[in-house]
Amino acid sequence: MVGDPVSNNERGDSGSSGTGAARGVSRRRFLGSVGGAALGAGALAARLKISSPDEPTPKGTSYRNSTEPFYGDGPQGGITTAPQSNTYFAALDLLSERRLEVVELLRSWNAVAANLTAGKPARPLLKNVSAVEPDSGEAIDLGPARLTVTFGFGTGLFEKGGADRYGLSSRRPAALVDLPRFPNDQLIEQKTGGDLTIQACAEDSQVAFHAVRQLARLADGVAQIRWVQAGFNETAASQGTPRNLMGFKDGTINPTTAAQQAKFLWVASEGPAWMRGGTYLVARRIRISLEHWDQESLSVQEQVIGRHKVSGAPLGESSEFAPLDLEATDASGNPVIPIDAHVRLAAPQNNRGEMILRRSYSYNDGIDLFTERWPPWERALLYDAGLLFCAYQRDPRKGFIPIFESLAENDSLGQFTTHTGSVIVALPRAALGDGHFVGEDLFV
Amino acid sequence: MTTIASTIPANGDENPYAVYVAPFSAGLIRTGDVLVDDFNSVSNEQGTGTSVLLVAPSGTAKTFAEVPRHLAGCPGGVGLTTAMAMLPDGWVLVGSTPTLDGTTATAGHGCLVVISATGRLAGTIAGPEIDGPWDMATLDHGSTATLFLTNTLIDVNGPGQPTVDKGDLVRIVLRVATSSPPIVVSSKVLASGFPERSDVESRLVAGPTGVALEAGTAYVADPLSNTVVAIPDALTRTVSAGTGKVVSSGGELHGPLGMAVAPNGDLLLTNVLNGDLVEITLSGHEVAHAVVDPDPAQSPPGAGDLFGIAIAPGGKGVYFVKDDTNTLALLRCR
Repeated sequence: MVGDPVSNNERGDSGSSGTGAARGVSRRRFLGSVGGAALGAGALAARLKISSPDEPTPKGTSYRNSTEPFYGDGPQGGITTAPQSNTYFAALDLLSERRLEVVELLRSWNAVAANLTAGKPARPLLKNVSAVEPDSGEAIDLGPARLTVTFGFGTGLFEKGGADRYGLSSRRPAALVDLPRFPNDQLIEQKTGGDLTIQACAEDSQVAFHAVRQLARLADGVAQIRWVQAGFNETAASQGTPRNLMGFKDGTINPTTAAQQAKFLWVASEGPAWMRGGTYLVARRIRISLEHWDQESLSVQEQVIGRHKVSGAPLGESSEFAPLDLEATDASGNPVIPIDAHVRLAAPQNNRGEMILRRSYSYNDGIDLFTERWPPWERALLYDAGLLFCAYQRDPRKGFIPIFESLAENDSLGQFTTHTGSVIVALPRAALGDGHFVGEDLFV
Repeated sequence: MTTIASTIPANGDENPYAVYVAPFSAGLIRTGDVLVDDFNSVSNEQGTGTSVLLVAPSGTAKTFAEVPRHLAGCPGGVGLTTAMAMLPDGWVLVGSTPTLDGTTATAGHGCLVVISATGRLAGTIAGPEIDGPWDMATLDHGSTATLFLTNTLIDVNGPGQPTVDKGDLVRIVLRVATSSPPIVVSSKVLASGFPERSDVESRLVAGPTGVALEAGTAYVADPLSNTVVAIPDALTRTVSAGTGKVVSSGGELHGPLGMAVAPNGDLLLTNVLNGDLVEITLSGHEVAHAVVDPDPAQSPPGAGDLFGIAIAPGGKGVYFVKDDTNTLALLRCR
C-alpha cells in the first residue's frame, strides 16, 4: 500500500505560488453553485492577469511549484482545469479476470496519483542501493508542475468480447456506448480502445510522462498499456484559445459558464449514482496532413475553417468571440461562412444547440511513409502529426456522436484530417480524499 | 447538385470508380439503383478495393458484394475499377486492376469479376485480352453480350517508366445464360496504341479509359492525349483501327476519363485534371461544361476527384462519383 499518503488538501501541500493559484483556478470555483467563476472566462481572466505588466508571465519555476488538486468533491482534474502545456495519454487493456485485482489497482493508482500531483515520488524512495526504487526518479526536483491525473473507464471494464469479467455489465451506463464507425475513419486497431485510461497533464512533459510511467508500472500483470499519445498545447504561451498545428485557434466555442457546463458537461440524475458529477470523454487521434495544408492559400484555409486565421474571428468579423452569423451573405448572395466550413457544421446552431467541451492537445510523432487519403493518393514520407482531440460531454449520444456524424461526411476540413485512433471512457467524479478512489461507488 | 450517398462501406473501402445505373431489376437490384465500386481499401492503396455498393435513388446505400482480395482466377488480386456492366440475366461484371502495394510495381493483369444479382461471387474472366481493365461499354443480344473494354496496363513496367503506347480497346463476346456465369466466346482488339503511364508518387496509371458505344461506333477517352477518339464499325471490325479518329481534342477537355452517352446523343466526359464535366457532340463540337467538383484541396481544384459517370433514369441528370469526399452525387439537368 501507499507509504506516504498526502493530506486531503484541496490545494496540495507544496505551496501554490500566487500566480500559479491565479492561473490554476480551482475546479471547485467552476463547479460550485451558480455564480461561481466559469472555466473559460475564469481561465481567460487568469491568463490575462498573468499577462498584465504588473505580473510578468510566469515561466519555469513558478509553474513548477504550482499544484492542481487531485482529491475533491467535484469532477476530476484535467477536465475543466486550465489546460497545462503537455499531456501524456495512455489507454490500457485489463488482463486480470479478478474484480478485486482491478479494485486494488485503482486504489493504488489513486494514492500514487495523489502523491505525484503533489510533486512527490510515487512512493517514498527507499535509498537502498540493493533495492528497486518505487519511483523512476526523473521527476525529482521538477516540482508538481500543475500535474493532473485523470482516470477513465472504457467499455471493456464492463463488457469485453461478450464476457462480463468483473460483474459490472449491468452497471454500464447507457451513455457509455460503443462509438459507431464514421465515414472516413481509418482507425488503427493498436491505437483504438482501452479498458482504462490515464491522462496526465502537466506544465512539463517529463512530469506528465513520469506520472503515467509510474502508474503503468503498478499495473503489472493486471493491466497493460495498449496505446499512448503524448501531446502539447501552447495555451499558456498564447494566453488565449490555443492554436493547433493548422495555425488556427481551436476551442473558441466551448461550454464555459457554470450553466453551460451543468447542461452539457456533468452527468446528473439521468446517470448512475457513481457517475454523477462526472463526464464522458471521446478522445480521437487525428492525423493532419500538414504538408497538404501548407500548400493551401490563406483564403482557402480560412474558407475551410470558417474563421480568420490570425484573429480567430468568424469570417467577416474582427473579434474571436463575435457570434457566428451563419445567415450572413456576401454581395453575391453566397454565405460568408461556406456551407461546408468546419465552424458552420460544428456550431451549436446546427447541432440542436448541443455543445462539447474541447480540451485537445497537438501531437507530433515524427514522420512515416504514408499514402494519403485523397487524390492523387500521394505516397511519401510525411508528418505523423495532428491533434489528440479530447471532447467531454454529459452524453456522447447527444454530444460527439451526432455532431461528428455530420462533420465526418460534409466538413471540408475532412480533406486534411484522418481519424486514426479513438477511445470513449467514463470519467467519474474525483476521489473524495485519502483512501478513496475515482469510481469507487461503481464497485460497491 | 445533390450528394446521394457516402460510398464508403463498413470495411472502409474508398476511392469510388464505377457508376452504373441498373437498367432492370434482378435479385437484390431494382431498376434505377446505382452500383458503385471502390478502387482503394482503407489502406488508401490503389488497386486494393473490393467492395461493390448498391445505392437506391433515395440515397440508401448498402454493400452489394465484397469480393475476396485474392481470387485464383484474377491474376494479381482484386482492385475494382470503372469497368462495370449488368448483363441480361442479372450478372454483374466488374473490372479488377489489382496491386499489392498501390503501385504498378506490384500490379497484376487483373480480370473481370462476375457477381450474381444476389451479390455472390460467381466467377472470373481473365486471359490475354484483359490487362488492366479500366472501363467498359456493353451491348446485349439476349443469349450473348458484347463488351467493349479498355486495357491500361499493357507493358506498363512500374512507376516512373516512360510512357508506352500500348493501351487498347478490345471487343469481347460472351455467351450469357441464367443458370451459369457468362463465358468468353471470342475477343478482338479494335484499337491500340493509346499512351499509358504510371506515376511515381501518386495516381496508379493513366491510359485509355472511358468507353461509349453509339450507332456502331465506339468512343474512347484518352486522357494522356487529351482527346476523345472514334473507332468505327466497332461491332464488325476485324482489324485494329489503331488509335482511331480524333473526335475532340483540348478545349475544356482536361484529361477526359469517364464517359457516358447523354439522352440527346452527346458524349459526357469527366476530366481528371480538374473537377469538370464536358459535353461534346458525336462530331466533336463542345457544347457545354460544368464545374461539379471545385475542391480547392486538390491542385488544380478538383483534380483527380472525378471518374465514373452515368445517366440517371429518364435522363433527369447525371450520376458521378467524387473521389475526394467518397460520395455519389447527382447533377440534375433541366
